[in-house]
Amino acid sequence: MDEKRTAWERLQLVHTKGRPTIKDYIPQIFTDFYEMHGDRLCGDDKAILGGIGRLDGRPVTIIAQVKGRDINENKACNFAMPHPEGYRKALRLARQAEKFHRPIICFIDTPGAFCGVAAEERGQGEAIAKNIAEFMTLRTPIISIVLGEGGSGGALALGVCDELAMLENAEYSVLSPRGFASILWKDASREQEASEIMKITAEDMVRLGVAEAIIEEPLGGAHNDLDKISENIKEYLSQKIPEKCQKDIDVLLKERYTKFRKIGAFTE
Amino acid sequence: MFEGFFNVVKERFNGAEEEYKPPMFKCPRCTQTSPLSRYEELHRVCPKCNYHGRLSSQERIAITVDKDSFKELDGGMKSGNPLDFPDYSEKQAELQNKTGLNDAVITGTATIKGSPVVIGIMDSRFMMGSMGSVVGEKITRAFEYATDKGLPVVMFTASGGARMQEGIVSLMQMAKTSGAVKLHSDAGGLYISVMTDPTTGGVTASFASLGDIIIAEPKVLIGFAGRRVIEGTIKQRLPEDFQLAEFMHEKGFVDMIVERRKMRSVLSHLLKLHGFYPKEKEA
Amino acid sequence: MFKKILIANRGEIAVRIIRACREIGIRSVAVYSTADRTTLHAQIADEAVCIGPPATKDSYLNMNAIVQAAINTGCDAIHPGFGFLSENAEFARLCESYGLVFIGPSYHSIEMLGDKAAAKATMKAAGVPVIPGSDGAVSSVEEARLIADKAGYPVLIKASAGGGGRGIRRVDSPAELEAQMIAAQQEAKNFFGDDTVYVEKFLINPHHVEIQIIADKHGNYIHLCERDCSMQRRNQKVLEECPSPIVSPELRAKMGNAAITAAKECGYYNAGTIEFLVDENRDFYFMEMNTRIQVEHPITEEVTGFDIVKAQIEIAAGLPLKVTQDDIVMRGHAIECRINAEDPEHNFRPSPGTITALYMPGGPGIRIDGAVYQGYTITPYYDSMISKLIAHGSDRNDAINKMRWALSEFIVEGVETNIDFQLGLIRNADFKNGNYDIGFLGRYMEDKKNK
Repeated sequence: MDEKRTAWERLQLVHTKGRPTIKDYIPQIFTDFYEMHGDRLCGDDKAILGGIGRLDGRPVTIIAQVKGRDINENKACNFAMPHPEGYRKALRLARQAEKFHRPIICFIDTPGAFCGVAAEERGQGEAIAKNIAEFMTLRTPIISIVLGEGGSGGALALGVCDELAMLENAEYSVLSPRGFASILWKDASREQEASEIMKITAEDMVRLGVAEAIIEEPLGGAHNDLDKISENIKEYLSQKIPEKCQKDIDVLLKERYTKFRKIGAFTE
Repeated sequence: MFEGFFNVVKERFNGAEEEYKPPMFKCPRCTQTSPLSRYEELHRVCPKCNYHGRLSSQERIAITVDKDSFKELDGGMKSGNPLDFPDYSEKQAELQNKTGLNDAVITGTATIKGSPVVIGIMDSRFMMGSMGSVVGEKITRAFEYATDKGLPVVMFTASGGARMQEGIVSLMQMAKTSGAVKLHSDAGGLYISVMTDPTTGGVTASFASLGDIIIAEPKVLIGFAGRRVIEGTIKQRLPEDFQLAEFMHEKGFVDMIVERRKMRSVLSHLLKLHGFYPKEKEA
Repeated sequence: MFKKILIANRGEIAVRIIRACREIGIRSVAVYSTADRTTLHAQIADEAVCIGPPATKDSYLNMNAIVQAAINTGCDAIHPGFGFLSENAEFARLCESYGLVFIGPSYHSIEMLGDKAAAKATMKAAGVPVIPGSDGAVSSVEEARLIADKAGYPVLIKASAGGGGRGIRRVDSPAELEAQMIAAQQEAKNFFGDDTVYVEKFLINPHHVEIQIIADKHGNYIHLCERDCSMQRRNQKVLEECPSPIVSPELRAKMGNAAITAAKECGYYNAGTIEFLVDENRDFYFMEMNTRIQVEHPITEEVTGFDIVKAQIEIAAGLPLKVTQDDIVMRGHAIECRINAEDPEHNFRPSPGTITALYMPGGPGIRIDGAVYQGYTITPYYDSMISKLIAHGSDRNDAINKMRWALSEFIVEGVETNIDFQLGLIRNADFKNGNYDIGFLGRYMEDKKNK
C-alpha cells in the first residue's frame, strides 16, 4: 500500500495513460471468456462489455464499462460512457446469470452515463433506474469492483451488489469534482479543492459504508504492474465468490437490501 | 310593521364605488398576461399556453387528496451532514425557516376520492428538490409502509437531482429508494409516478422512472442530464421541446400526460381500476 | 282597428299589452293557468280565461286552448308577447286559419328566421356581415372540422332551433370538436326537439348590440336605434342600456342599414330585433333575428319616444307607420335593470314566495313595468322576473345616477331579489366607464367569489 495520498493525487493516478482496463484484466483473471453482444432491442453499446467465462473453473457472468487504451479505442467505446442500450445489455446478461445460477461480477470504470440527445431519447434515466431496481433482487450473488472512476448514476447502474470493492486509487462520486466546483462555487478551476471536500476515495467509501473492501494496487499505481494488480483482484474474487455462493439466497438478498438501506444521515 | 322599513335606502345609496382591477399574471413561458385569479383558479396553470407552474407540496396535497385525509409520516425528519460539508447545516436551517419544510419531500397516507394511498410529494422550493438522506429515507419508508399495508403509492416527483452536499450518500439514496420500490412491486404493489416540473438527474434515474404507470403534467421538464451539459457535449443548441413531457411521451417513457385540473380524477380512476375502492364500498 | 285582443302571455309583458290596448280603446282578454289566478294581468284585464294547469306546456303553450279562448271571447287578434308561442310559426298559422290576426310578423318570416342556421345564410346572401362559420347547418363532424379550421378556434357549436342560451357548446381545439358537437346535438334534441347544429367563430369578449326595427304591412321600414345587452350571465340578460356606450353615430347608421336590409330580405313586418356582435375593432356581425317584442323594449321607447307595443297593434290592424326614419331622434340615455325574485348569494336560484311588503320608486325619468303587488305570491312555475326598472336621464351619467337612487328605494320583502346585485353593477367603476363586454359579468362574479 502506498503511503497516504490525497484524493487529487489518486485521481491523477486513475487518469494515467496505461492504467489497465477490463480488456487487460479479463485474460489475466478469467478463462474461457466469450463476449456477448446486444440488448436484443435496438443496439450494442461498445461502452459496456458483457460475457461469460470461468473464475477458478466456476462459470461467472462479467459486465464491465470499457475504457480505451488509446484515443481510437476510446472513441470506439465512447470513453466508457454508456447509452441506455449498454445498461439494457447489462440487465439482459444479468438476468441470464440469474437463470443459470452464475454469480455476476461487475467492473465499474466510467466518468458517467453519456449525456447526449440520443441517450435522452432512448431513456437514459429509465435504463439506469431499471438496473438499480432489478439488480437489487437478482437471485444470484453480485460483486462489483470499481477499477478507476465510479461516475455517479452511470456507475451505480452496475453497482447494486452484495459487496463493493474499490481499487486502492479508485474513486466513487455523485459527480466529478470539476462539475461539483462549477455548480456549487461557479468555478471549475477549484476542482482540486472539491475533490478533497467531496470524500471520494476508497477509504472514504469504506468509512461511509459504501464499499466493503479495498484492493491494493502495486507501488505507484496499477499501471506499473498488470500481473500484480490482476493477481490481487483475482485473489479477492476467488475468496468472495465462493463465500457468497454458499450463502442462502434469501439471506443474501436481505443483506444486499440492508447494505443500501442503512446509508443515510438524519435526525428525527 | 313598517318600523325601519326604509333604513336600507340610505345604506344602499351610500354604498361605496367598486374598483375592479384584477391583478395580472405574466407567464414565464409564453410571456402573455392573464388575470392572476384565473391563473390561481387553474392551480397555477397559464390560461394561454398551458404552462404548468410549480406548486408547493401543501398546495399539491390540497388539490389532490380528499379534504382532511392526509396524515403525514416522518414529519420531523431532518438531514445530518455526513460529509461535514461546510455551511450545509446552516443552509438547511435557513430554508426550513423560509419554507416551513424540513426537507424536500412530504410523505404520508391519504385517500383520493376514497381510495387509500401512500402519497409522497417532492417540493422544489427546498434546495431545488434535491435528494439527500432525508428524501431517500422518507421515500424508502413510504414504500416499505405501503408494502406492509398493501397500499398503492402515488409519488409526485420534482427534483434538480442529487444533494451534492451529501456526496456519495446522496448517490446511495438512488439505490435505497429503488430497492424499496422493487420490493413493493414484487409484492404486487401499484406505484403511480407523477412527474412534475422539473424531474431530472438522480431522481429520474431511480424511483421516478420505476412507476407501473408514469404520468407527467403538460410541458414539464423531464430528463436525466441537464440541458446545458448536453449542449456542451454535442456543441449544438437543442430544440425548445427537448426534454419536455410531450417529448418523453413521444419517445415512449411516459404513459400519459394529464392536466392538473384532471389529475385527481385520473388518479382516482386508475386506483379503482386496480381494485382500490373506498373502505365502505368493497369492489 | 281591433275590438278585442287576447294576450297569450303572462307577467309584466301581459300587463304592458293590456295598457297599450287601453290607450287605443281595445278590450283585453287575459289567459291564465290555475296557478296564476291571482296574477296582476289576470286581475286587471277586461276579461280573463283559465286555460289549464300550471305546467307551461298545458297552459301558456297550449295552442288549442288559447285559440279556443280567443274564439269564445270574440277576439279579433292575439298578441303573443315574448317567449312562449311568440316565435312559434305553427301557432301564427293556427291563428290565421281561425281568422285571428297574429300580432307579429307573418308565419313565413317566423319560420325562416327561427331556423338560426338558415337565417344566417339568408343574411350573408343579402350582404349583411355575418360571424364566420358554416353556411347553414353542418351535417357531419368532418364538415364542422373544415369550417372550424377556416374560421379559426375557438368556435361555438349552436343549435339551429335554439335560443335562450341553450344548445351552445364552446370548442377550443380540434381535439374537442367531436365530443362537444355530440353534446350540443344532444341538448338541442332535448330542449328543442331538433338536433341540427351550425358552427360559428367564437368572438372573444365582444359586445352584444341589437337594433330594433319596425315595419308596417305597406313596405315601410324604420329602425329605432340600438340597445347594448352585453351585461349577461350565462347568456341571460341582466341589464340593458340605450344607446350603447360603444356605438358611434356612424356605426349606428351602418348597423341600422344592415338591420333594415335584413328585415327587407325576409319581407318582414311588425316589430323585430336584429342581434349583432361587435368586436374590439368595432366590426359587427349578424348573430340572429328575433321576431317578437323583446323584454328590454322600454329603453328604446324612452329614448325615442316611440311606443313599440302600440305600434305593433296598429301595424297588425293594417295601419301604416306614422313616422319616418328622420323622425326618429334619440333623446338622452336609458338603462333597464331586470328585477328578479332570485338569490344571488346562492347561484341565483329562484326565490318564490309571498311578497309581504313592497315599495317601488317613482320620480322623474323612472318607469316601472312590473307585475307584482304587495301580498302577491310568486309561484315556482315560471321565470323569476317580477319587474323591470327603467331610468331615463339626459345622458348616461344622469341615467346611472337616477338608477342608483331608484334601486335604493326599491324594497321587496318576503322573497329574495337581485336588487342589491344590480346596485353593485351600477356602482362598478368599469360599468360607469362603459368598459364592459359579454365576458364582464362572468369575470365580475368570479372576482366576487374569490374575495
